[in-house]
Amino acid sequence: MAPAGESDPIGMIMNVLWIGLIVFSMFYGQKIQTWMMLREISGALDRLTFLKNEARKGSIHTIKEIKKKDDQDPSPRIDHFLEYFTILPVDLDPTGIVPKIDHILNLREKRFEDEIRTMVPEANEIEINNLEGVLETSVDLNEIFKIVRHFYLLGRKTMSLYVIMQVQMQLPLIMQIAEAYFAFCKAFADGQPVGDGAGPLVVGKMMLGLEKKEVIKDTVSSETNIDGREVILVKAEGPGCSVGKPGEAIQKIIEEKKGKVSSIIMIDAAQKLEGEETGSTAEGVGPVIGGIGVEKYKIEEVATKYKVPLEAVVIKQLLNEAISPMLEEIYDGVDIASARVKRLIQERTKERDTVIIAGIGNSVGIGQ
Amino acid sequence: MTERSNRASSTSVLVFIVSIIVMFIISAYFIYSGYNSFMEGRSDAYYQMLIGIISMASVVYVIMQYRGRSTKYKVKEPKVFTKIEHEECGYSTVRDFIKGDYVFKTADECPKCNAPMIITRIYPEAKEDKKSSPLQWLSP
Repeated sequence: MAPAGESDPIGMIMNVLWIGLIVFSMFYGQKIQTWMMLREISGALDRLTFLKNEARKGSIHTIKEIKKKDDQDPSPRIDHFLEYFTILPVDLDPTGIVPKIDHILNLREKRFEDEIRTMVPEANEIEINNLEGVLETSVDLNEIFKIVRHFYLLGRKTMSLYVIMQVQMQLPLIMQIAEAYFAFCKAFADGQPVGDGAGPLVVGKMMLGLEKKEVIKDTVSSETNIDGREVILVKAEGPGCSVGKPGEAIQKIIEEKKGKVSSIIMIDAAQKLEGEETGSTAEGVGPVIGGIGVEKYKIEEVATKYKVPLEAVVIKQLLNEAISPMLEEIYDGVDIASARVKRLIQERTKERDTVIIAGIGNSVGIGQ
Repeated sequence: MTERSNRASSTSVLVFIVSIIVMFIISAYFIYSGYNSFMEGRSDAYYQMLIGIISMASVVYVIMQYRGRSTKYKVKEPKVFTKIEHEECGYSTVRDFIKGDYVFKTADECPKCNAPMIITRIYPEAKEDKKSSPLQWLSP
């Protein structure tokens, strides 16, 4: 074959085709890009389908495991439950919205518990809490799947690059969260501690051998003496899956003490930035607590009312580490955080002071 | 409506496949032609080679992006261990996690001093690659 040149007819055709392809890509380049994005989303959707189906299977398996007698198939009830939704209060006039959110969240929690009790009447408190976690995670995975599928189908229907890009650009993060939720689901089903339990682990260790009482539903407290200070320890009741209501518990304790509390020390898992070590610890001030903000609001309210200093100790980890079985590095971080808390008590308070130490996070797989 | 969109979709796939084949033929031709020109010492050899290589790289990239993927996924569960310790004498042992284990649960007796030990850690096995996230265990 002769080389492409002016005298070579094949070469001429190839040159024309080459130019034609450049022109074609000018008009259809975006369309090809759209197809490729759709293909990527479709792959992610396959994986999400697998994850949500496995989570559903896990929920059914856990329920069947607790239900000794196999009299009724829980699958239809679980499928019905996977579509469960919560409508948050209107925020056009945000004044007084926190108690409304609190009310809705309490309703949601109560409804979850009631559903589980109906499905598995023979389950104990720990099993109910763990099942609640498993089901809640399954509902979330189902929600993620439905949102991605919505954008995928909408994108296919409209072939709009901007609709498809919205999902495609966030896909790595969405998949990371979905896979972490799946790991979370498995940890709940087996009752294994997760990274978010770092705070309750610090306080649980301090509570060992002490008398515990339930301050608020799913939240326990103990009293002890450290270096001459009256120390009140607060954490979500374990080993079932629960974050408790630490805000309400702290509020109640401070009101009972008529504001005579010298310091509140809170310990929680915190989102680390890339480059930071998992399990590294840091100190600061302010209420260190995540979630929708209701518990944080309650702590801020009572701390401001009585001018109680808020000290914070965090154990850093990635979001996916916080909701996956607890890594050894986080246990090492917990030991360092415990030492920091003891130093804070010595340095920031005086003898005969009252100090509240609250371990914030999920107590699944962590006793006290 | 659905039938029409399915027809449109299959036409799009056909156009895509034809474009890839045309692109492949062009790039193969330019590489071949560039090689011949180079052997003959012609000055346009590098230009032809460049076009051929760029086109071939684009074809490979698109095929890599579009290649068939496995739809079979499986769950590879991490091994989880339970560490049991007796703080007073410092004895500790590690065994596989058993459902029902939780941190601070009183476990077996210490073989050294016969006192009850407690579970102090429940953790997944460490990854060989420290940088990998704990999510890597879910593999396609």
